[in-house]
Amino acid sequence: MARIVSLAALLGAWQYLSGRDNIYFVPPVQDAASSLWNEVVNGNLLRPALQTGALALTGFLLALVIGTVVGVLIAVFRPVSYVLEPIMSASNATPIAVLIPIIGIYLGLGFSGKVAIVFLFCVFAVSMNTTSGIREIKSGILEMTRAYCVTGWRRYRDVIVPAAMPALMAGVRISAGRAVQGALTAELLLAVSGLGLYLMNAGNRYDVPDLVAGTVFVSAAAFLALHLAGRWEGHVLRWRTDLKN
Amino acid sequence: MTATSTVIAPPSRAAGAAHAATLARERRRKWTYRAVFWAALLLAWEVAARRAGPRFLPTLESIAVDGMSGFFTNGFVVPFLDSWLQLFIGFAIALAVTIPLGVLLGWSRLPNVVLMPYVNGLFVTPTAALLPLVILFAGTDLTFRVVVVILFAFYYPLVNTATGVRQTAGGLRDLSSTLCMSKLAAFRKVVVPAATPYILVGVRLGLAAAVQGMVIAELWVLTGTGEVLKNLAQFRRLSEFFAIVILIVALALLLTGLLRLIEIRLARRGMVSAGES
Amino acid sequence: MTVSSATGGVETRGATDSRPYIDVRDVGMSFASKSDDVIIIDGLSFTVADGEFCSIVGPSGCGKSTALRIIDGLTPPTSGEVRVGARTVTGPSLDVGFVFQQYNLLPWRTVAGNVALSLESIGTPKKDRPGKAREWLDVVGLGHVADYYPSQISGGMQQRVGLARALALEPRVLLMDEPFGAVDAQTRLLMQEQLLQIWEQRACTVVFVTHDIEEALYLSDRVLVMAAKPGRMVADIEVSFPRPRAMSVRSDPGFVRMKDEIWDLLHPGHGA
Repeated sequence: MARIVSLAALLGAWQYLSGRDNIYFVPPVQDAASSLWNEVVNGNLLRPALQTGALALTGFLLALVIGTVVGVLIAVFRPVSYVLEPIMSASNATPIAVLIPIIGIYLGLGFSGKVAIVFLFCVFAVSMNTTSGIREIKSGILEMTRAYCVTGWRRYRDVIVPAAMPALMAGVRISAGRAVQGALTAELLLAVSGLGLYLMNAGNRYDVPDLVAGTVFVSAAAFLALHLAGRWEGHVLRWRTDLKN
Repeated sequence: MTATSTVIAPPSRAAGAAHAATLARERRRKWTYRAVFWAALLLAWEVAARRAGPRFLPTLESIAVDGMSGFFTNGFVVPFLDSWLQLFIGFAIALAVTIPLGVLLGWSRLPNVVLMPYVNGLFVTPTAALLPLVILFAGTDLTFRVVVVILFAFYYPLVNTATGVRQTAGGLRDLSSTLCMSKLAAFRKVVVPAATPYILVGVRLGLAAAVQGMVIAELWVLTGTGEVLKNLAQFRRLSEFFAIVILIVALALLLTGLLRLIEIRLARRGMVSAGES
Repeated sequence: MTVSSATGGVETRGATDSRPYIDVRDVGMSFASKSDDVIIIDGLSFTVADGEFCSIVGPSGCGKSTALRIIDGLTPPTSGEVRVGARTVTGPSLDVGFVFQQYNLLPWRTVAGNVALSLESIGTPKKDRPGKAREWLDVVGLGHVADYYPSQISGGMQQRVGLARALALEPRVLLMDEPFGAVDAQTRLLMQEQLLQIWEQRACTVVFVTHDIEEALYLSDRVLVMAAKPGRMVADIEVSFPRPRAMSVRSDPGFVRMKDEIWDLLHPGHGA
């Protein structure tokens, strides 16, 4: 109820602002809404969205595979953790975007350059979560594993991997958001394409309804990506009855 | 909570005070591994740089000498400092708004119900996608950069503060009524100390996001350090480019490291007082 | 009833069969700390006969759980050795089932799946596993929750799953580490009774660690009493109440007297 009231208040304020002459950058609500509807229906938004989606998904999957492997190596082999852990903890504070101007030199301004940005946005969250997931497996579970002679390949398949899964899936969820972030950043700053191109064109035309529509659309797409990641997480962790509500 | 799940350190599983000698040996081993690996990495960089040439990969020497001296003599210091100044302005505004708001969100239910969907919505929305819109009403000057920094940085301080306050708020109401403490006194004596570690983590994560925001904003409108970086890359003045990147990253690490140090200090104090009681 | 010092060796019991199946020989456990060596267990020796139900009681920190882990091979002793059957223990083996205080079920597997873990270890063919798991769950009376996840059932039920998992190995020896320590008092009594029924039907050797004197007396043929600092054995007590035992044995005057005596052993200087 309170949410409905607040949403109404927000839309009301938006509508009021759009009526003021000196504020040209707020379009009337109905203009933005109809623009969103038209641009979705005629495919002007969906076509670039596919391009952006492919970019985000590629970088995300690449980060998922490599991040998991690196995370496991750090957790299992001490020398690897000694060597790589400083990079992992530094990655939190490092602005990946500083590399954007030179990625083109090494990987070009095409798909691979943009994938590299998405990858860098995601990979650290995946590997750090994987590492902590494995390290934080309850010692009792590991002891049980030994007592019941669950060894070799079975130890990993039946115990280590499923036990680390909650943390790994948390990494997946975080990365899903970052993948969309990274894709949009790459499409606006490295080589304009996809939804980034759409937004930039709308901005350059001063077509504010289209720009607002595009932004709302991007936001919805990001929501969808996170929602899908959450669904996947819920499916993988269906044994976690505490997550159900 | 997702916001901090990547940064909470795993609990130490060292068995008591045992194996002091083994630990010392292990520490030596750790630094040996690190030294060898990092030396090898730098060597590999150097070899690759000498083969690829300065227009592709600058040598370590040229980064350290040409790059760093170029930074000071070619007029990059002013935009560099300018960028950080605007970062701090934006970040200070972000904190001034988000920490009180976070306290409110953690303290009472209604604002939480009403506002959290928007907070999460704004967090989920790729911030880069907001740039074309922000530019329309904020221009390309100080306001723009400050707004972008705020958009990047607001989430973690806000949500972590709310979480920290919420953790104590429930029990606190009982406590303040049992001890006949005034709400305000209880707030000052219980909530603030209990929430401080959460807030600090939030500030640290927010600062990291703010630096990212600064870089992205400046690359988008081409001002300050962003413009410098873009130009240096375009003209393949890579030794200067890498020198500036190193300075930015070093400064970001230094600042977040300082915050981390404060966190550890506080945690240690908390542990001592918990042990005494 | 015999109360005797057992630090030096093993009291030969008057029981009918006393072929030792578990043989703990002068086991010591210590670790080096900053200042000096901390001795967890000092010169522990005892045997457990084939098919015997033997409990170890003692205060916390006396090393009783460590002793159990050494018997299983989870922890290597710093001195001495343990023999189980013809085997010198060097690590966990599938002829020994272990029941943990904290259950240690795999939360991502169903109740039946947790029992199946044992079946996988002993190489039961895949197609036979669901049926077998179900059979073992029926033994502990949990057939009806086979498809639940551990988080969906109570702690007492989780521990019965832990017991079914141990039984599924069809082990010669069952090692139980305060298995009912985290279970509420009423459930605990019911589980003790059920455990006795199960044990009486399949003659396996049990070593049962607990801090509950009454529990130890009710369940066991023999109670070993340990003391702390350093962990060592102070008494080896035969418990000869007839089996099957009813719950009412707890109010038998002889039972109460033995309980008091063990209490005195555990708390020298505090009258019962």
